[in-house]
Amino acid sequence: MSIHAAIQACCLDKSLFRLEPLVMGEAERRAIYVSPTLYELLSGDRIEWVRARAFLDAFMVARQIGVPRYWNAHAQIARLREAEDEVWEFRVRAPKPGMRIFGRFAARDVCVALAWRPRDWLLDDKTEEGRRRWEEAKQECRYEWRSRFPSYEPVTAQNYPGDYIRDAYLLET
Amino acid sequence: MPTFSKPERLEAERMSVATLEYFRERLRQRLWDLVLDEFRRRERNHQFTKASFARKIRRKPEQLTRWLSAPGNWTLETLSDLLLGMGVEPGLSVMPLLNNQRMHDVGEAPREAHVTGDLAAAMPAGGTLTGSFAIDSSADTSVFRARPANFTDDSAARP
Repeated sequence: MSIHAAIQACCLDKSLFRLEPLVMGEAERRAIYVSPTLYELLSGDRIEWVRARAFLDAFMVARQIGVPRYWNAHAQIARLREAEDEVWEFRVRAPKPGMRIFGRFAARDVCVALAWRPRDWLLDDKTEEGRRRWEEAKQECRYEWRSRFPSYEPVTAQNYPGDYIRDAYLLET
Repeated sequence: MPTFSKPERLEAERMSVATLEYFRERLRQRLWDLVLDEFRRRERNHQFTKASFARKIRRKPEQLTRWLSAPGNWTLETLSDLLLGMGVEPGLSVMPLLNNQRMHDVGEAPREAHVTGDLAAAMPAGGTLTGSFAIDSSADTSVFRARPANFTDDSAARP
């Protein structure tokens, strides 16, 4: 079974949902699958989630995705440290305090988002408590991945960021 | 032709805040994509470097990096500067945003999952999954998914 078939199975048993841009008619260059919890939140009308939905919809159709080469506080998406965890964050900054949505790439241009946290809950990762909270969020993402795809690892890059996103624009710090 | 959700959303006497917010963010992201795409194309063609471009529009390179990283703080002035720096301006036109029924809409709970693309090809009957999805109305966004306390991810142990 391929990872694509595993995703399909998750969609069938509703442990994953595929997001579709709310505005149709544009070529979808990337796919995002989300957990039922995220799907419900992203389909709701709370402003922070509406903004998140618009951001993720844009990610699916954008011609270019800016990806930081190194740590870049301003980028909209980033692979978290430690890189070998293969956990990425989508940064939704507005409205304050913003939020982070965590996911992993199942294949190039196929992201599976499985966890989220309000940004202010995560704290500064330079503090001990902040590191613990970030690690907890990453661990949840890994756990949710493992519960759905026990036999599959996320994408591990030989070629960063092209192995994750076809049309990635490398942002310098 | 762009098509958006349900007829009443765009034709309502008062649009919902959710719809307004969605399209504000959508426009920001589309403009950012427009600029980034053009910037990347010209940079690849060696028409400029980031440093020379920043100088040209009288900005510091780190400011340019911030602008190219995300559209969050963009203003119309930002957009104008970035486009002008590349010697272009947008070809402006408008097109109608069509209404169309969709199974899920801004502010509406999901009812169906759709599978398209590679997955759809592997599925019968056009790749649409039907059936109800139970919404937990008690869902509290401040409550996170539980995980076993003793969970360890073996992938974390990879070399």
